[in-house]
Amino acid sequence: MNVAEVKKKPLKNYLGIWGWVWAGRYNVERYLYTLQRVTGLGIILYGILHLTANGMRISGEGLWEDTMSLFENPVFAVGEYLVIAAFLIHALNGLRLILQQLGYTLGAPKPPIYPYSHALQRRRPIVLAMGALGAILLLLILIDFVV
Amino acid sequence: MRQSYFRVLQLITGVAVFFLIAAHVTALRLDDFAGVFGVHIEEPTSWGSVMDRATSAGWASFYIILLAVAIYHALYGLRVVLMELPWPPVIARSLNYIMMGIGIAVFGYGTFIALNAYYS
Ligand code: HEM
Ligand code: HEM
Repeated sequence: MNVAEVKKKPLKNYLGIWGWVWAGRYNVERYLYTLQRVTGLGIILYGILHLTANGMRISGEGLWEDTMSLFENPVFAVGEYLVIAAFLIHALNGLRLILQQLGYTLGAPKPPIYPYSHALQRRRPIVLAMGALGAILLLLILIDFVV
Repeated sequence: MRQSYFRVLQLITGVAVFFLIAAHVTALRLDDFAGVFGVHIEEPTSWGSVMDRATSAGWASFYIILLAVAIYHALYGLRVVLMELPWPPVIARSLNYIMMGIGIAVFGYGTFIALNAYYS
């Protein structure tokens, strides 16, 4: 390949917006970032609806009760569960990110002596712990919702 | 350097918003969980119940603090997402101010709702 050809076809070293969704066969943590983004944006969307619905208070009791009776529809119950689930996932994953950013839970650096363990293996336990905690809480919240 | 303090504030507000929303959602939607903490609110979204809280200074301040903290965290996060999009230079340059504008407007609106009910 000559220089002109290289210039015509620049190497793609970035993924663009598509990378938000799919970056290839990376580890779980890479996709937890996608999840963090999806849940964060989802909660913002809910927040917009929530503040709009809350604004109905200004017009007094009638409009408020009408708005609230709208939410008795089971579709909204499912929506509320999803919002709480998004919140929980975002919070637990966010907590993991905060701990790791401050340097906790990463494990001490080790000299490369056989059998090797790489950094990813050492920081996997907190992902599993947060995942398990999240799954238990999601189940309990589901029970709270249906009972 | 200043930017990194805003980022740290994003993390701090993340932790704060966790406790505030967890309390909010537990009290108003998860009655079994609320029962564990000895809280029980009858029909939390009925007009009477909502107005009881809205006219109490404690709850009103709780909501205004929640508004401020959640708006900061959410808009800082949204800004990170938006910065990755290919905006025309004018918008890219003013993104911070656009976000601040939105934040102040939403906080003003939410605080108005809360105070309007508080003083009713
Ligand atoms: C429940 C407690 C919460 C915690 C602990 C938390 C934590 C975090 C953390 C640490 C990040 C940074 C992720 C990164 O840049 O790597 C983040 C991002 C974000 N958060 Fe939260 N958050 C919480 C609640 C919320 C709420 C209630 C909203 C919406 C109102 C929200 C919206 C966002 C958004 C939009 C992002 C940007 C995601 C991205 O950069 O891709 N978060 N959160
Ligand atoms: C799905 C569960 C939720 C339910 C049932 C719920 C219900 C309510 C109700 C009834 C109010 C009116 C105030 C009151 O009665 O005390 C309120 C206010 C508020 N909620 Fe929620 N909420 C939920 C989730 C959330 C989430 C996830 C957020 C964060 C994005 C949030 C943020 C707020 C804020 C900021 C206010 C105050 C609004 C104002 O006074 O301007 N809520 N909520």
